Amino acid sequence: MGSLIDILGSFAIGGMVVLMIIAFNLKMQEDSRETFSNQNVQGNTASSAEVFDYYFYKIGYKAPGEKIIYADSNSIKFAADINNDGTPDTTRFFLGPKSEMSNTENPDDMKLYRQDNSAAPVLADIVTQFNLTYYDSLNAEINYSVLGSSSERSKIRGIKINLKIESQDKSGDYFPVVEWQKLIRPKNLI
Amino acid sequence: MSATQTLLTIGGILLLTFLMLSYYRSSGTQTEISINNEAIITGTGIAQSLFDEIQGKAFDENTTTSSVSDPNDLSTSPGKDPGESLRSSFDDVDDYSTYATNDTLNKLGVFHSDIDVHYVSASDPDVNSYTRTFAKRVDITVTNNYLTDTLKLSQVISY
Repeated sequence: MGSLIDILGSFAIGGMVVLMIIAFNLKMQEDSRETFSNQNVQGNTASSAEVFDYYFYKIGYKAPGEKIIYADSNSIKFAADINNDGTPDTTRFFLGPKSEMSNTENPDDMKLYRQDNSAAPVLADIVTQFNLTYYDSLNAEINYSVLGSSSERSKIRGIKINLKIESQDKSGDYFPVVEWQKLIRPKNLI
Repeated sequence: MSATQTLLTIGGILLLTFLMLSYYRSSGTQTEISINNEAIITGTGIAQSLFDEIQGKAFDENTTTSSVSDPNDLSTSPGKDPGESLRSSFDDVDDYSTYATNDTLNKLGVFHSDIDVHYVSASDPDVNSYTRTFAKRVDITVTNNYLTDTLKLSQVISY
């Protein structure tokens, strides 16, 4: 009888230990995936911030004509001599459709494209939100509805970029996310 | 089961428990570091936006419409001028002195920014100058619940 209790007790304790080890192992795997996703998303955000700084601060540089050619809530086209070769370039940032990213787990991710002059658009980042807000010299927000007019676009002095980058795959029950925003005031628009 | 075996079993379980506790603790720290990094990236972007805005203004109230060649012709102390209570009415760098603003983001919440402006010596911009000079240092401190420490950024603006 005594040895039977010993055996049953051993099974119970052994089973608990095995369950603890399995749970521990799963937790480690999940944490590792989450850390990787977070680092990835943060790295992408930092890279995108550098790209925006590089292009947006140059808006209007050595561009004698219209400086902002097109502007709306999630796309912009502007003129600037990006490579400083004496010829104004045009750069366009715009979002692709969500259907382009239908193969990922995240239902909201989209491709953010950059198009230089008439070259084929290149992928700038994968984002879940890319929102642009425009401000005039008095720091007042300019309504999107008037931005079709060239004279209204010429009043733009500041552009606020709201960026949200989420992981393409879930980590646990959520998508690791980083939000970033910056109000850029290109010197050549002032 | 002998007493030795029982002790060995208890010792093993204790070791495993310590290992797990230690892992969970380091996992929590890792999460905190990750969120802190994110808050630093966001907070820096917010502070840089403010620097951009401030840099676009005149150096001093007395240089908004005319030029100044002697530092003694600049404003005596940095701060808002009469009739400049709103941010939209700020027209020079030191109007932002003691100004505070909040930016709210969905995930990380409120980022509170405090701005301070001081005259500094152009040759030693870290030290505040008690006399008027052609250099002003703008200090922006950003705080947020997820920032483990206050984020402080400074920029010197010269005339």
